[in-house]
Amino acid sequence: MNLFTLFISGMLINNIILSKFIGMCPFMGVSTKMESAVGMGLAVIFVVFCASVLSWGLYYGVLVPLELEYMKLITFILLIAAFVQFVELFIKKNSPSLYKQLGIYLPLITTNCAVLYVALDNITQKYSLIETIVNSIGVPAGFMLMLCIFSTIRERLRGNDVPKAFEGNPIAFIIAAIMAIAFSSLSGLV
Amino acid sequence: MKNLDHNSAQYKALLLGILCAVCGLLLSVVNAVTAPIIEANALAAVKKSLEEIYPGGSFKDVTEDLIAKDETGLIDGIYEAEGQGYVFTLHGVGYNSNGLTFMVGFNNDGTVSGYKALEQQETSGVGSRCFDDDYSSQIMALTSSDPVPLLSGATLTSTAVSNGINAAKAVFNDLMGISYDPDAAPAAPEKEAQKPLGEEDFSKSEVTCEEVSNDGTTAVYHCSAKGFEGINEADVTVNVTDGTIVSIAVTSFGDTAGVGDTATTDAELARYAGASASTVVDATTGASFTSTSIRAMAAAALNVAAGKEPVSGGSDSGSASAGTGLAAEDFSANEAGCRVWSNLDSSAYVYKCHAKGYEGVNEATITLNKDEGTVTSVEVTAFKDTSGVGDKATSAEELAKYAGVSLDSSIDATTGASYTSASIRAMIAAALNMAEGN
Amino acid sequence: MSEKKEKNGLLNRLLIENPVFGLYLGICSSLAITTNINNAIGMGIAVTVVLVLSNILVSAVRNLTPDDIHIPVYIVIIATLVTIVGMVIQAYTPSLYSALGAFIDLIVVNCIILGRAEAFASMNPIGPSIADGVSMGISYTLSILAMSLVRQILGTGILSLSNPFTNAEIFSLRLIPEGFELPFFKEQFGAFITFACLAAAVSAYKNHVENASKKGTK
Repeated sequence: MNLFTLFISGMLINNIILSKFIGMCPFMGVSTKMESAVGMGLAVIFVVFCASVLSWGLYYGVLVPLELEYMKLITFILLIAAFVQFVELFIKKNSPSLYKQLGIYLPLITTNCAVLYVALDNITQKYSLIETIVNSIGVPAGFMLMLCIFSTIRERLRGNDVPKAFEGNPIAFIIAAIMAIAFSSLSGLV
Repeated sequence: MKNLDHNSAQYKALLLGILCAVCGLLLSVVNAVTAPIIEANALAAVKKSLEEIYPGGSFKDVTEDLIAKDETGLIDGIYEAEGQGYVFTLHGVGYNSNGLTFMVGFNNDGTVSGYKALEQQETSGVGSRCFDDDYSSQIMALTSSDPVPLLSGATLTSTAVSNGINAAKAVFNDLMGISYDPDAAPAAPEKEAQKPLGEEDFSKSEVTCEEVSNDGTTAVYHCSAKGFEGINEADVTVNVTDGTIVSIAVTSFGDTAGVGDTATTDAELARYAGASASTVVDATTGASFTSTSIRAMAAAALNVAAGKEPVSGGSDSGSASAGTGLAAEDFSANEAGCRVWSNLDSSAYVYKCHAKGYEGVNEATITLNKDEGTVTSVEVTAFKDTSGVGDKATSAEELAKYAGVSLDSSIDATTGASYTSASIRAMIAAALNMAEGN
Repeated sequence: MSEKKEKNGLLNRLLIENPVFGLYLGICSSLAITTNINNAIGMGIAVTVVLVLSNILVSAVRNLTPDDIHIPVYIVIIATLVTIVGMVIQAYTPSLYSALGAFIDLIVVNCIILGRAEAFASMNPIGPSIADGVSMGISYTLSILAMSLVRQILGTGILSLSNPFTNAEIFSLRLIPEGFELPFFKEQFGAFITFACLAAAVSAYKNHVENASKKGTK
């Protein structure tokens, strides 16, 4: 698949939040303010990219030669958890200011469906290394895009007259519903 | 256990190690149990098709092992019929851009064991002939080292099929260690010997010619003829005195770009220069229908220049044929059918009917007077034939001809729109028969 | 009085502490696969099985696991269970497997399972852990069942159930006449809207209970 279309497809057309419904849990929690949205978004891009490439290497380098493909899930999730732990320690030690901004999100990312999903998807779709790299940047870029858009909308909503029952998360889902229609118009593009 | 320090590194490593070992063991056990079932499920889907080639055979999916041998990328799946041979599922693109999938099987001794389409939407009567008995029996007679013949008049589809079969041959021969010449040319596709222009049957081309100019020596005719799916038009310049073509200039091309237009190049049209009614002009390979339409126009122009009817010979569907009585006419090819729409007033029964025309199914609402057994009116509600050709039969004037007809009437076909007018007559006959209770 | 409290307690647990609509855990799967009740029941059973087994195992090793490696330990346990359940589903109910797709593997990161393991099973004996797992699992299943009922009925007009082992249809009822169904409920928009409305309903109930208890204590 053409690399550019792969990127656009991962970021916009099959947007991981609006089209695939993955990564919703932390999404709802973090998309309330713009600063946290940007911080989380960048952290997710970094973690997804590194974890996906590493797990791709692990799969084709270790699991396939040893015919242990069924261990894929365990090894991937352990790899992700270990990687996030390692990154957190690294940032804590080397850059306390960065840790203050991003560090709090890192534990959240371990159980973020998005990381595991992208890592597994690269294997299911049988992507090559370069396709994995492009896909693993495009998809979390879409996640970050959604985070930023949502946080601006939710910030605006705070002063408004939302029905009591819908306050908080339900109204966010209504916003998501409307955005889903908007983004579904892109579906025939590729 | 009490003495073990839960916080020591050794303990943690030990715990994790044991945990991973136990989990790994558990997973490999479950995998051993479920993996064969999963494989069987995947095979079951394809098995039905495979059993058409090797009934009752036991199959193994060996695609992953052997697919690396395929350099063409046309092979989707490779299945071993244990003890008997191999079946290949292939894909390709013929005329229809949606593509086609088919399978071919080779016995262990190299002979072809089966050849079947899985999914194809090629043009019926043209590309679909590649999957008819004629061509299939040619394929079944081959061995894995023989070249694959093409089918004349269905070049695109048969090329896709032969490419697929060649890809399967390559892998099969490599696997079995059979040596063969991959570049051997297939026997030239069987072509019917081309008839001279004046003898070929152009009745299906619905060709017309109109004189543009005629100075006694040279005449120019503007002709039109049906090609593959559209109407082609050309100006044919004829030398009246010796009855030969001077030149042909195509003015309107209605066929498939990239396919039929190989017959309309200057080089191809130059072959007609000097041709007379007794000349044999070969068809253009790969553009049979369009080149037939050009030959039809050339022949028609020569006929008109000689003072004859444009189309001679063959079944007389180009001219207004005196129709046989409706009841006696054979409409079995039209597959006509009617639904009763209203039968409360016996002087105005209304039927909604459909019948196959040239390439589509036309629909019409027919009102008839049951007491008298005659048609009151015909209204065409859906026209699926070629516009510009078939719709001559659906104009208000033509439909008015049907007022008052009964099963004993003879209705003239509409000139130049034989198929469509046959479909309308078929619908009328069906409606009248239904009203009679036939 | 205590009977009413107990009845309220059950309803409360079901609604207010509802993992999907009350606590917003496990949202991903509840949006993606709830297009028909077959998928919902299948997914609900899969999650419940994993939840109960993981609670049992986590509770069993809770005294042996030092604090700082407890996350990898729980992850390995849950991942193993999910892989096994996935293989079983793929082997015996292939239609369910292709319908649920990647979401079977994503049960591993379903916040409910790791959440319950950390919050309850790691601190309680096996018996209560089983009960907690079962109740959470049933609660989850009922939530996604509710969503799929709405989406399937409004989206296709048909309420149908089929046996996942044999693909035989158990029943099929047309509730909305053909041509009047709303197909957008099968798509992303419908998923979000249905979720929002159900979540708002639970939220309204929660507010009502809070107001009632405020009035009660005043």
